[in-house]
Amino acid sequence: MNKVVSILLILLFGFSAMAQDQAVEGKKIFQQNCSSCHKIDGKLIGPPLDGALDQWGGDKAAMYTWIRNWAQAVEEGHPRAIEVQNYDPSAMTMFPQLSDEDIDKIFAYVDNPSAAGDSAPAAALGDDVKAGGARSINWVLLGLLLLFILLALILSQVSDNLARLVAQQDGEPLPTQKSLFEKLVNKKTLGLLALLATGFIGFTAYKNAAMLGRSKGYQPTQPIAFSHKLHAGTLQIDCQYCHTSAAVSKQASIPATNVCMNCHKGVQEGPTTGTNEISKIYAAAGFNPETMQYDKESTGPVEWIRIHNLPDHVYFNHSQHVTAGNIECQTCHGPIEEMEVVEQNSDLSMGWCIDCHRNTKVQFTENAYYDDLFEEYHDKIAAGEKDFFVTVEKIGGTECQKCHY
Amino acid sequence: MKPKHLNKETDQLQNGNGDISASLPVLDYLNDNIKKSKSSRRDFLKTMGFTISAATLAASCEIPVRKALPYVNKPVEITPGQALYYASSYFDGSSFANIIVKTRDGRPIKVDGNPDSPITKGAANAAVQASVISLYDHTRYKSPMIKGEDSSWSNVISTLQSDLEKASGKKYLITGPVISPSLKAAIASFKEKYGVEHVVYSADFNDALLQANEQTFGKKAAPTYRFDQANVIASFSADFLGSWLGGDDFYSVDYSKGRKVSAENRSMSKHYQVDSYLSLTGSNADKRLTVQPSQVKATIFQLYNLIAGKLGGASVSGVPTTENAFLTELAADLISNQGKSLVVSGINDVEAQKAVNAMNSMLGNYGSTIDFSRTLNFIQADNFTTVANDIVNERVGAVLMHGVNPVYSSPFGAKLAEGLKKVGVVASFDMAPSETSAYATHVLPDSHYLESWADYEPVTGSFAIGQPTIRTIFNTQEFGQSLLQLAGNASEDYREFIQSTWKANFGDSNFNQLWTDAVGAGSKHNESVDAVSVSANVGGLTFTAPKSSDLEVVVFEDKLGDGKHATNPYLQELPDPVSKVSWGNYAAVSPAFARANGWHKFNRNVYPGNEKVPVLKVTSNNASVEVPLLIQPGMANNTIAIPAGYGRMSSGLVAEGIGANGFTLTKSENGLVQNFAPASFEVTGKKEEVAQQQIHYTIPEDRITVKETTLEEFKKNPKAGNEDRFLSNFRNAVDVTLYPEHDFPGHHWGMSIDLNACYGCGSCVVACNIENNVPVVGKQEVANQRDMSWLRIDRYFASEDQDPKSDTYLEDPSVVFMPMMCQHCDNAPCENVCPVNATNHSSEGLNQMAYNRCIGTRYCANNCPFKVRRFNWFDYWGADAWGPSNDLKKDKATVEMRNDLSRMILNPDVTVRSRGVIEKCSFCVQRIQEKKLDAKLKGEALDANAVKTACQVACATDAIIFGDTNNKESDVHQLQNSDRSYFVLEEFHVLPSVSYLTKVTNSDKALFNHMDASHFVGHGAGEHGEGHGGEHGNGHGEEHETETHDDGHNSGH
Repeated sequence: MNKVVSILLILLFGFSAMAQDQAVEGKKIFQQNCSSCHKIDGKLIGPPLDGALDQWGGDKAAMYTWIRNWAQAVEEGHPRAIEVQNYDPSAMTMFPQLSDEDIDKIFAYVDNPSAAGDSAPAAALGDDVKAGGARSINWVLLGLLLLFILLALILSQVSDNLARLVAQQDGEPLPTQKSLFEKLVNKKTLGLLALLATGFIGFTAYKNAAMLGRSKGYQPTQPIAFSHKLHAGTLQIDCQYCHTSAAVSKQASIPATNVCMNCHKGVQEGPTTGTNEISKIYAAAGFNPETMQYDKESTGPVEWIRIHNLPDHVYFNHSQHVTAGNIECQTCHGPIEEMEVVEQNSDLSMGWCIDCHRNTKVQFTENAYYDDLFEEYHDKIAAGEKDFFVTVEKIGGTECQKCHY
Repeated sequence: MKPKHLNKETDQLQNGNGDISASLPVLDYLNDNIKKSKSSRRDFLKTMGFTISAATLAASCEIPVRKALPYVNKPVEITPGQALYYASSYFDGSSFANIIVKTRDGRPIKVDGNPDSPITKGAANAAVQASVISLYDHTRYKSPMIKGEDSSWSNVISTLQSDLEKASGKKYLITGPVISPSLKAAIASFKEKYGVEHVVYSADFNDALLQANEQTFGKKAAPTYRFDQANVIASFSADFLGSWLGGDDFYSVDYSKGRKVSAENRSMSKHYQVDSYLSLTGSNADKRLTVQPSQVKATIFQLYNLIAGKLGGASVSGVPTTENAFLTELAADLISNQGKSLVVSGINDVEAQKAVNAMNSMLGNYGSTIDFSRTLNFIQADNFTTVANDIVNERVGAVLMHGVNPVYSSPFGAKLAEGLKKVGVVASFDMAPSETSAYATHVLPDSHYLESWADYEPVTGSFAIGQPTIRTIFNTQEFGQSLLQLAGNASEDYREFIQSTWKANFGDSNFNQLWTDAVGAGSKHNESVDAVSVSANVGGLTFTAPKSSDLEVVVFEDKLGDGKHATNPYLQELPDPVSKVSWGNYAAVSPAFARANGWHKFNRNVYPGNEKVPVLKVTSNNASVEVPLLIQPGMANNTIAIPAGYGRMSSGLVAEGIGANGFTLTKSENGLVQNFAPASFEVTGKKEEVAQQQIHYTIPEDRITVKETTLEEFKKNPKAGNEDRFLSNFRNAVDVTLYPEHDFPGHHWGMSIDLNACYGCGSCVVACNIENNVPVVGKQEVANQRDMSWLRIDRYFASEDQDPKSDTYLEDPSVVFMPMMCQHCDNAPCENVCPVNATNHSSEGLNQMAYNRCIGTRYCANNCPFKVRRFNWFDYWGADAWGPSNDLKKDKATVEMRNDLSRMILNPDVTVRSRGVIEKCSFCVQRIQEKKLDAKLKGEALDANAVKTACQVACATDAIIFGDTNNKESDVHQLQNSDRSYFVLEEFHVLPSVSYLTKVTNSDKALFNHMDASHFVGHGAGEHGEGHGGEHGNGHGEEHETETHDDGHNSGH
C-alpha cells in the first residue's frame, strides 16, 4: 500500500514538476513569438490568449492549424477562424516552425503564468531611496551649533564680568568693555572663518568636480514620446525584442524603425497619444497607413537623444553583463517598465561600477569557461567553504584594463 | 668588454640621445627669463586667476546633447558594435594578396592576409596592411571631370565616347598589369569599338626576365618559385623579400619554412646574396657578396661558367676570370643540391636572365623549385619606349590611362609630360591625382579597391574575388564599369559582368553555389592545373659588360613601390627595415666611401645623433636629384643607392615634397629600363635632417639582447648560444626583489618571437599602428625621436672588424631583426616608479596602462630597460576638446590624419589617447577581452590559441606567437619552454613575458654570439650609457641637461 502511495506521490510531483518545466519553456516561446501581439489577459494587437482554446470550442487541431498557417484554417472554414480573421486589419504572422508540443507549452504557460515564476513586476532596484532621517539630523546639528555659540557668548560675557569684578576688587583699571561685534570680529575668529571657508569651498569644488560629466536623472524629451511604461510595463514586451543586440554585442542598440513596424503596421493608434506619435514612425519608415504600403519617401532615422553616455575611454559590453553575467537590465537602468519618459537611473560613475563588481557573484560554476582557471576557488567551493562566492573582483574585474583600453 | 668605437668626441656625447629625448631648456629658461622678470609674482597671480576662471567656465558648460541614430531598415548581417569580416583581394599592379577586411558599423578599419588563401597563404605586407587609409584619402578624385570641371558620369561617358570617335592618330590604353579575366574582356570590347591599342606599363624592372623566358622557353611569363623546396638559394640583386616579382606576399611564407629550425628539425636552407646595396633580402642572407651594380651581371656569368665547367655546359667567353671564393663555394653548394636549389636575379638584363635560366636548367630546378605550370600572371610589361616616342612625336590622338604614372616613374618623364599636353584626348581612370593625370582632359575616377567588385587570376589556376566592403565614398565607379559604358554597354552592371565572365569560365551548372563559395572564400583554387614541362634552349649565351664607372648609382624600390604608396602616411612613417629612415629618401654610401670623402662623423652607427647631414646632388644620365647623405653598412664601395618612389609632386599633401624622385636617374636601353648607371656627385652645401628611427630607443650594447649561433653548433646542441640560460637560474631567483611576486591564477599572457622567422618586413608595425590607433607623427617629430609605434623592429649590425676607424668596419655586417614591444615584465621597473599608479600589473600578467590616471611624468619611460614607452607630446588625432596645438599644424601629414575622413580608420574598441600621456603595447588587450567574452558567451573554455594579437595576425611567417602561457596546450607555452627560448634582460630579474628564440645562421660565424659581445653594434643609447657609466646608462632622457649638472655633485661616476 505504502508503495502505491509513494509511486502515486512521485508521479504527482513528477507531473507538477513537468508542468512547471513546460510553463517555463512556454514562457520563452511565448516571449519570442507571441508577446509582441498577444497578452495573456488583455487585448493587444491580437485577442487575449487566456481562454483561447474555449473560443475554438476546444478544437485543438483547428487552433494548431490556425497558429501555423491561419490562411489554411480559414480555407477549411472553421467559424472561429473566420471570426478571428476579421478581428484586426493586420494579419497574424504564420508560425510553421511551432510544433504541437511547442503550442502546448505556450498554453501551459498561458493557463498558469505563475508556474513560470511570473508575479507582480519586480520591485524597483536602485539606490535613490531618500534618507528620510538625514534632514532632521542636520537640523539638530544646526540647533546644537547655535546653542554652543550662544553658550560661548554667555560664558565670554560671564568671564568678562568676572574679570571686571576682580579688577574692581584689586583696584586695577577696568578692562575696556568689548562689544559683541568687537568680540566676533577679530583676527583669531576671522582666521578661523577663512580656514573653514577654504575647507568648505575646497570640499564643494572637489565634490562638484567629481560630478562633472555625470548626469544621473537626465531625462530629455525624445523626438517620439515613446513610453517604456506602456511597452515594457503594461504590454510586457521583452526588452530584447527591441534592443536586439544586448545579448550578443557591445551595444544594446536602439531598434531600427522596421522593428517598430513589426507591431505598428497593425497598431495604428496608441492609448494616450493617438496617431500623433505613431505617425512619426510611419514618416521615418516611409509607410503610408492609408494604403498599408511603404510607398513614401523615408524622412530618415529617428534622431533619439542618447541618455546613457559613457566616456570614450571606458569599454562597456552589454553581452558581457546580460548574457555572461546574467544581470537584469533593471540593475543598471532602473525600473524602466515604470518610466513614461526614460531617465538615467544610475550615475554611471566608476565608483558605482566598482561597487557592483566587488559585490556581484559571477557565474563561476555555471560557466565552463572557468573550469580550468582559478584552481584555488574551485578548491574552496569543493571544500564547501562557508560564505565563499566568487565576485567579479576576485577574477580580476576591478583591474584597470578590464574596462580601460 | 667595451666596444672600442665608444671612444668619441665629447660634443657627440652632449648630443646623446635617449628615448624620450629632447633636453628641456628649463634651466636656460629659469636663468634667462625668470630672474630678469620683475613682476613674476603678479604674473603668477594673473595666470592663476585666468586659469581658475577658465576652469569655472569650462565646468559650467552643459553636457552636449548626443544623438543616437538607429537604422531605418537594419541589414540582417549587421549587429551594431560587432565587427563584420569580408574576404576580398588586394592588387596594386605589382603586388597581390588575398585579404580579410574587418568592418565596424559599415566602415572598413583593418586589412589582414587571408590565412586560408592558397595563393598568398595569409601574407599581407606593410603596403596591404596600410592600404585601408588610402580609402579615406580626401585628396582622391571626388567626381568625374571634364577639363578640370566637375561633371556627371553620363556626361563624361558620352563626351569621351564622341571625343574618342573624333580623335585622329593612334589611340593608346595604358594600364598596369591586368590579371582580371573580366577586366580583360571589358578591355577587349572597348578596344574593338575604338581601335585602341592596349599597352601594359610597369615601372618594376621585370621586362628582361619575361624576354629571357620567351627566348629560353618560348613562354613570355614568370614562373612560380618554391623557396621552401630549395636547400640553396642564390639571389643576384633579387629582393624577393622586398619588391621582386610580387615580393614578400608571395615568397615570405615559403622562404621562412626553409629557415625555421627546432630541436626536431635541425636543417635550414642556405641563402647566398649578391647585392650592390644592403637590401632587406640581402640582410637576411647567410652569405653576402657586395659588388658595384654593373658587376652583378659579371658575377652571374662567373657562376655560370663555374657550374657549366662542372656540369658540362658551354662556357661563355669574355667573362672576367678573377678567382672568387664566394662564387666557388656557392657553385659547389648548388651542384651538390641539384633539383633542390634556386638561382634568381633581379637585374633587368636579358643576357643575364638567360644565364640564370641556363643555370637553373643545368641544376635541374625546373619542375622542382621552379614551376611553369602556375605562372605569376601579374608580371607583365610591354615595351613602353615606342609608346613614349609616339606621344612625344605627336602621333597620338588619344591616351587613356589607368593605374599608371609614367610621367613620374618612367625615364621619359619630362618629355612625356610635354607630349601629353599636345594630345587631344587624355583620359585618366586613376583614383587620385598624379603627375600624369594632371594632363587629363577627362577624369573618370576609379573606386578604391575596398569599394569595388573585381576578379583576378594572379597565378594560373587560382582565381580571386574582390568585393566591396563599403559604398563608394565619392562619386566614383570601377574602371571596368567605365570601360563597359564607353564600349556602349551602358546598362551593364560590372558585378553582373564579372559573374557572366565566370559563368563562361566555369560553366552555368550550379553557378550560384560556386559564386557564393568564391566570394565567401575570396578565392577559387584549382587543385590541379595542366602540367607544363619546359625545355630550355640555353645555347648562344653571350656576355656584354654593362657600362661601368668609378662611381655608380643604383635606384631601388622600397616600401613605397614605384611611388604609388607615397600618399600613404602609415607607409611613409614606417621606417625602412634596413636604413631605418622614414619620411624621405637618401643617398646611401658605404662607410669606407664616406670616410674617403670626410663624412665619417655622419656615420650614425658610430656617432648616433640626428643633426643635419649634407645634401648630395647625384647626377646620372643627364639628370640629377638632391638627397641627403646616409652612411649605410653593407653597401658596395663606390656606389650610391637611392630609394625610388619619393619626390611625388602633385599627389596629395602627404607625399608632396617628401624626398626626391629617383626614377629620373633611370635610363631606357633597348626598351629595358636600367636602374643603375655611372654617376657623379657634388656636395650642395645644403644640410637636411634625416628622420631615422634607430638612433634612439636602442638597448645599450653591453646588455645581451640577441643570441645567435651557427647551424653547425645548433645541430650538435639545440641549446647552442643559449647555454648561459640553463647554467644560471635567472627566472626562478628568489629574494632579489623588495616587491611581492604576482600571482596569476587564471590566464597569463605571453609571447614568443622566432628570430629566424622574422625577416624584418614591418607589416606587424603597420598592423599594430592601425589596430591600436597609434598616430602618425610626421617627419619632424620622427626626427625629434618622438615616433609613437608601440612595436618596433630593432635592426642590429655586427661586424667582424671592430675598429670603427678601420676601412672594413661594418663593410660586411651581419644583420638581425628583432621585434621589440612592451615585454609585460612580471617584475616591471616602470610600475614601481609611477607616482600615480597609472601603470600597474594585472592578474593576467599584463602591464596595464590607465591613460586617464597618467599625469605625464615619464618616469616609467625612463625606467624601462626596453625603451618601449611612448609619450604623446601632441594631440595627434585631434582627441582634445581644445584642438591641436599650433606646433603640429605645421606638419601636413598629421593635419591629414586629423581630418574627419581619415579618422574613420580609428578602431572604436581602443581609446584615442590625448596629449600628455604615456602609451605602449597592451598585448592587444581588446582582442584578449573579445575572445574571452566569446568563450564565456558560449560557455566553454578558451581555446589555447584563440587569442591572436594584431602583429601575430600580420606576421605571415608566424615569427610572432601569442597565447596563454598558463595553458600547457598553447603554442606559446611549448615555445617558451623550448631550448632556443630566452628572455631579454632576464638577468635583471624583470621577468619579461615575451621570449625570443635564438637566431641560427647557416654560416661559419655567429657574430652576435653574446659570449663575445665585442662584435655587437646595436648602436645608439649605448654610447650615451657609456658616457654616464654604469647603471645610470639607461637613465637618459629629456632630463639630460639637468642630469649632467647633477653629475658634478654626485659621488657617482
